[in-house]
Amino acid sequence: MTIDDTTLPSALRDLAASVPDDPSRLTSVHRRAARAHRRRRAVGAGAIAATMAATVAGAEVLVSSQHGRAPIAAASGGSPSTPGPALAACPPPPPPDQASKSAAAVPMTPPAIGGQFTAGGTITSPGTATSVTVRVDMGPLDGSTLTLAVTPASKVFLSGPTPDAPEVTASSTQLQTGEGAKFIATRTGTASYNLDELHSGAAAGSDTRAPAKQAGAPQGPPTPPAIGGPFKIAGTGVSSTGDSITVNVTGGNLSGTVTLTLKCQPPQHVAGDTVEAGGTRTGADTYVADVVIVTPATP
Amino acid sequence: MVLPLEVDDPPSALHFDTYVHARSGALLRLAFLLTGDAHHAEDLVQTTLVKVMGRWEQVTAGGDPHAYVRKVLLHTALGWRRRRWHGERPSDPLPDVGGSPDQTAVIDSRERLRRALLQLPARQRAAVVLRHYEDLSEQDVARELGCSVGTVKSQTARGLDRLRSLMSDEP
Repeated sequence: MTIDDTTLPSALRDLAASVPDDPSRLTSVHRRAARAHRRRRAVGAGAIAATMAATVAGAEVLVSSQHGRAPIAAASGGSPSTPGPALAACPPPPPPDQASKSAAAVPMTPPAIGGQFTAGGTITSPGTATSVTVRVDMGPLDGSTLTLAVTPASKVFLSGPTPDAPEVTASSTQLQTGEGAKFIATRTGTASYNLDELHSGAAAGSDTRAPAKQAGAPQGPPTPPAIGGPFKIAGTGVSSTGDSITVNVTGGNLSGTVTLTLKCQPPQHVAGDTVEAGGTRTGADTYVADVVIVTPATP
Repeated sequence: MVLPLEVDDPPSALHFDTYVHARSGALLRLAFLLTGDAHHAEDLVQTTLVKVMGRWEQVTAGGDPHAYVRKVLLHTALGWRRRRWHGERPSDPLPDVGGSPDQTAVIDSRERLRRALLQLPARQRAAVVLRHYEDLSEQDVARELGCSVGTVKSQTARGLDRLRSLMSDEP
């Protein structure tokens, strides 16, 4: 068989035509896409749950380590409305200097050097081939602006054009300022971090998976956790009873006015006080707080 | 080689499923020439379609999506070359098809061409296939492969020479 410019095309066509077609290809493609989508959703949900758990756990550790303060005791068993035995009084509020620090300090559980952590935030400058800058507003190092070094092992994903569309692999240079981002990073030094994986929302408001805030964009009400899921809020105290506190929520993953069942007796007068709490959603409108910090309003 | 679409919709309105029905056969044949294996070719086509499915609106926004999908397939295939073993698979002795001598000769020459193609370096093979099977211009091949026209010319010429040599060496 001789091969030249004129015979090669027909020989290639003949060879190509010998491959058998698969009539079930479309079904297989849809099945593979659905499987990939489910896998990504599972990974995303796991990351959010891990972040929330780490945040609440960090708050517990921090609160219990402060002098004169302790987490409010547990409401043991029974429904939240069941009257129980008299609860111990809630611990006094922290000294003013500690109180001012607590809001920022509660989520601060910096990972050790070499440790990996998950966080969420907002991209503050367009990504480059070597780095991405994110202002963290969820998870460890909350409130910090981190520059994450992009390595060959870093993975970047952009959400699809619609909320239901699967994410697509992207490069760090495609990240835009203002996009929400969830990421996993490794702390490599005192102030240096390597990006391991980042999931970014595409157009503002198009990504329901990204929990991070969109900088400057109008915020809708936060998505409350599923029953059994963790919550973490900050807000203003409205009223209290022997084992509950009502809070007008201004931040966190709940909204509106919520009543939390406590594990100790809160102060009688909490109206106007700053309240931070973390715990578990136990029903449609019931929440049990594992950690509550009440800071009196400045007179 | 561009097959006509069997739909009247403009490309931007082209549904993903319609595209798969109309064009995935052509993608499979291209994939077979690039991989030399029917199962890998099917896997390559499905992987490519899953990749583009998630951004189908963006893919079709620019017009006929086929060129884009073909490019994704091409680069996926070249990426696979870097991380999967793609050595030649044993195929001797040739299967006994039991047909007429003419049929046997046709199958034999197909097999020789397939094995010869597999011995070309991946990018050289891609250049030859795009140029002589997809019938793309040298400029288009350069665009698809992300290289210069001069590189396409040299890769194609070397590929053809090597194919000629391999085919003439075969018994």
